[in-house]
Amino acid sequence: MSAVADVEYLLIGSGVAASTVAMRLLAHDPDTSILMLEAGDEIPSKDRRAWWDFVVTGALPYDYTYDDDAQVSYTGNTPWRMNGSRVTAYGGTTMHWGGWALRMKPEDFRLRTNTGKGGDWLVGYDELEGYYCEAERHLSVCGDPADTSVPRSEPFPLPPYPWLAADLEMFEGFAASGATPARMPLARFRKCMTTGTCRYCPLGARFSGQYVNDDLRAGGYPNFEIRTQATVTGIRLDSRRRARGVSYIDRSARGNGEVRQVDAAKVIICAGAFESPKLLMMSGRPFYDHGIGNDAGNVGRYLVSHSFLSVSGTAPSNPDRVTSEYGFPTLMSRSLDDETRQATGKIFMFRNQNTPGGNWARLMQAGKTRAQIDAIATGPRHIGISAFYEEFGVCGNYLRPIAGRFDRFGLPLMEIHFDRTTEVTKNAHLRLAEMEEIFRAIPDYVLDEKGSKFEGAAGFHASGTCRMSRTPEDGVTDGDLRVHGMDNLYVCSNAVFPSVGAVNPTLTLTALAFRLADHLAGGRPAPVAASREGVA
Amino acid sequence: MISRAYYTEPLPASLIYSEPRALAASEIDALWEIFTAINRAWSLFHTRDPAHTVLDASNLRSTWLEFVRLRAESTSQPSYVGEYENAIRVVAALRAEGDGDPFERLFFDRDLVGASPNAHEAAPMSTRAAHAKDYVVDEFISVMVIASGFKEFGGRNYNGFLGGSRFNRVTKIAAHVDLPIPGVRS
Ligand SMILES: Cc1cc2nc3c(=O)[nH]c(=O)nc-3n(C[C@H](O)[C@H](O)[C@H](O)COP(=O)(O)OP(=O)(O)OC[C@H]3O[C@@H](n4cnc5c(N)ncnc54)[C@H](O)[C@@H]3O)c2cc1C
Ligand code: SF4
Repeated sequence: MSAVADVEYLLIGSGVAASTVAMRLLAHDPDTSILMLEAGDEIPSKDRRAWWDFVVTGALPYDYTYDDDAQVSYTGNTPWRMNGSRVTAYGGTTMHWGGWALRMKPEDFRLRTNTGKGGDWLVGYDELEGYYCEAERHLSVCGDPADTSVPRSEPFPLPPYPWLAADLEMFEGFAASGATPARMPLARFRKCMTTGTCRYCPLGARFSGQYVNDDLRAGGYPNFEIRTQATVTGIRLDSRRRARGVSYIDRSARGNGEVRQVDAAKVIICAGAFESPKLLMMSGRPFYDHGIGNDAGNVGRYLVSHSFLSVSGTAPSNPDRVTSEYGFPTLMSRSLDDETRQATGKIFMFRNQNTPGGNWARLMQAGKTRAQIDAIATGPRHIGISAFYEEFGVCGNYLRPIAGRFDRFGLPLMEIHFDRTTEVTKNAHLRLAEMEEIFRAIPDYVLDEKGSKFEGAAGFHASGTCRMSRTPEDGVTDGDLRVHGMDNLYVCSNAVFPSVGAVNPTLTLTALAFRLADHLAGGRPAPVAASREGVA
Repeated sequence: MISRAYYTEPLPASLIYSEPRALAASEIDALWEIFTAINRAWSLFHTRDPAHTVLDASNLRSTWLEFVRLRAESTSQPSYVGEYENAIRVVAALRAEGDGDPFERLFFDRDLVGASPNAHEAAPMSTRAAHAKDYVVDEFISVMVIASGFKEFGGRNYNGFLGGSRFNRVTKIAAHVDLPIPGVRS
């Protein structure tokens, strides 16, 4: 540790990125000093009252942390939904993620080389493959040993969920149209009891960053600490190259809103794709006029997320009363997530997990009789295929803080500018047409001609806002996730992704977090740790 | 005597404020009557599997009790004691009136209970009867369906049903192919 620093590592945020980095650093050296500062509160997990509240009323114990859409100023030609796109709390957004845990494909790391669009990664699939295996173990991913959609050196740590009866017809439709059906890899511990209310799991069976933090706190590490209700307001610098530490507002009852400072040998921003760039933009004076690492104006730019595509249709009856029995999809296909479609936007398809529906309680509450509900249960059967569509980060799409205005956590409000070109819309409709063709191959179903949708953007997979690049002219961080021009300031977040492929980002982020910690520890591989399941 | 004036009395649609407390045995009995009346009205546990089920919802009693007690007694979240007291009185008032089965009226009479479900989300004002429907009956319906009532309408699993480990020998869902899953010992 530097002679003047309070701690060796200062981590901003306590989500999956921060918790994975901390866990790995402590595996390297259990005595190392780490302080995590988290803006949000601690929300009880595995609380039966909170779970029942969710199940009967839909209220989640953390939904008060969601962004109110009115807090964000939207510009650009395409609506962007923030509400529900992140959780500001101890454990971060994995408090309510779905746990779908997919690897990006090898070609996703070479998007710019292959297509001239978006950005290239400075780390390739082959280098990340070992870290993907570690990430799958860490998140306890259940997956199909026969899955060949990406090269892998180790099998999934846990076996997959079986396909549901509700998957049957779609399975046939996929197969008939040449799309390979596959099982969704999911981050679920062995104790999963298949209740399907995973946004608040009563058993702690769906991975959350919270559990890792809890384990670290209980792990007897003498120099590890997490402070919640601690909102970092800026990175303090010693020089143009060196971060000295951070300032934060202590929102806890004892802290009374006071501003505090901590000095650190290394600062790692793990504040998500929205707050990480904001922190860089709000820091740096007098050494930087427009924020740290932002001389070329790239911080906050290249904002991108996935958009939803969906098709649906109906069969005349449902004699077997089939319903979707989990709150997550078990059937997916990566066949249209392939290199030939890379230039026009790949898609990752999955069965819409809400169909065939069957909200019997709702019908009873609405006063429907038993006979009426039976008729609905055996009547027309509606199903849908949904997909994430890969859009490419472009310089003109950005987020930036609004000066002097803050939310209830003390985080700056923001402006989001998102434009979509006619070419993107045209390409998305090409994919939609392919999905319709697959749907038409499902026996007995009639496609709902007006049911095909390409939706606006939503922030749940936001990325690109501190993208990695060879030079500061083209991005914000280097291949080691260090902010260009800085010696000891790093970003670990989806923000560093130069492209996000068509699949959910968190497994890749977790792999990057392991890799970053190994880099910080001097490039050494960490000693093999006990699996989290064993400690949980 | 409690009467029509009681259950039609207007009051704000939001949850009736109350302090948490343990429910008396008589209150639990009165609430249980509502729960079992739901079963009767929709015949959820009559027909499915006569060999293994009884003619009422007794098998769900421990789940239901946990639910009711957590809502009445837990200190960290709003208490439902006020709603439970109200619902018990509404049922008593309907019964005293003697104009048909009080539960059928509470479950199906839209003039009495308003545009449920979740009427309280739509309007600032409500009535005592609508409160009983929104905060007690509708929630009990959800509990009954989730705790295995759904099986009557179809399916072996449902959002919220704690079906047991997926590694058990018997699959917990209506599976597409009921074969052993690779890697799982059976
Ligand atoms: C509804 C939903 C479903 C999702 N499902 C999936 C899925 O199935 N699979 C998948 O791969 N991904 C999914 N995601 C995405 C996934 O949740 C994110 O990729 C992941 O959680 C990001 O982790 P993180 O640690 O980078 O950020 P976060 O988990 O957001 O953590 C950042 C933390 O930093 C804190 N913070 C921010 N600013 C400050 C500050 N100034 N000072 C102190 N603390 C600060 C925040 O409070 C937060 O706790 C989903 C997202 C959403 C919204
Ligand atoms: S299916 Fe149920 S037990 Fe499994 S992770 Fe989801 S909520 Fe938890």
